[in-house]
Amino acid sequence: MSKLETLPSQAVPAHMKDVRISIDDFLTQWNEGACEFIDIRVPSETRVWKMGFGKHIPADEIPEHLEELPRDRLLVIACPNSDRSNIVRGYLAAKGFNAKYLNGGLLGLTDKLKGGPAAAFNLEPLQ
Amino acid sequence: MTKQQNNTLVERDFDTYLRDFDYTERMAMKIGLDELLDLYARDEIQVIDIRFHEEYAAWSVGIGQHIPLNELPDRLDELDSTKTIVAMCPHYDRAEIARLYLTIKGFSSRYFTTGMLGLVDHLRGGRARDYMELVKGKEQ
Repeated sequence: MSKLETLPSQAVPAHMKDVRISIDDFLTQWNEGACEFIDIRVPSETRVWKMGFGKHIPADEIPEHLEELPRDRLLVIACPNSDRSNIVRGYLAAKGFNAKYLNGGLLGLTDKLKGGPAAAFNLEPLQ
Repeated sequence: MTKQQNNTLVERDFDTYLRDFDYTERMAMKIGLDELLDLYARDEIQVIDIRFHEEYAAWSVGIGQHIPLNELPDRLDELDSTKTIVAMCPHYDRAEIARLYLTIKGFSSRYFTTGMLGLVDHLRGGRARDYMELVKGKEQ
């Protein structure tokens, strides 16, 4: 848990593992029900391309939806790459959530979720 | 071309198709990103996502309809034979299998060389908003 003042101290190599999560680690944790997934793109983007799992909360609406977010699990924040997700992850971390941004982004994740990995992916993991 | 007047499709002979394969067909069988977006907006093509069900459930795009490759032979009646059928998958390898099958079956068909990953990479932010506004009311 970190507050706004302590965020800069995480921006060093030793702490980046607390800030971001790899696609493979996300898939493992998701399938185990160990994390929540939040797609923070704008609605016009999700109309073009939508993920079939997790929550969709546009970045600019995150402050109004804090009540819905679990505090007992990791929040994995995703956008196409990792610029916007990193901003939101910083915001949520400052609000006391355990949040990481998805390293490789939705583009990397969708590339991964084809064929076998897609078939093995648990859309609704046991909570 | 291959269509009869009542629009029933005439299958091509695979041997003949290969013997006739030339530089023109090599280009004609493909469609890239800009042309796909343009022809889809003008309703001149039917786009099909030929990935497996699990892949579609994991993520999907708001363009075209979903017909898995292994269901294609049994779902040809869902295709509009008056349009060119464009097959897409994450990259383009499976889309090309679908394109070849449909071509042999007598359809006009092309495969999307950019792939769905290229499509979603392109349609982000303002481009996503503008394009979906342009094609509003189409399927999905």
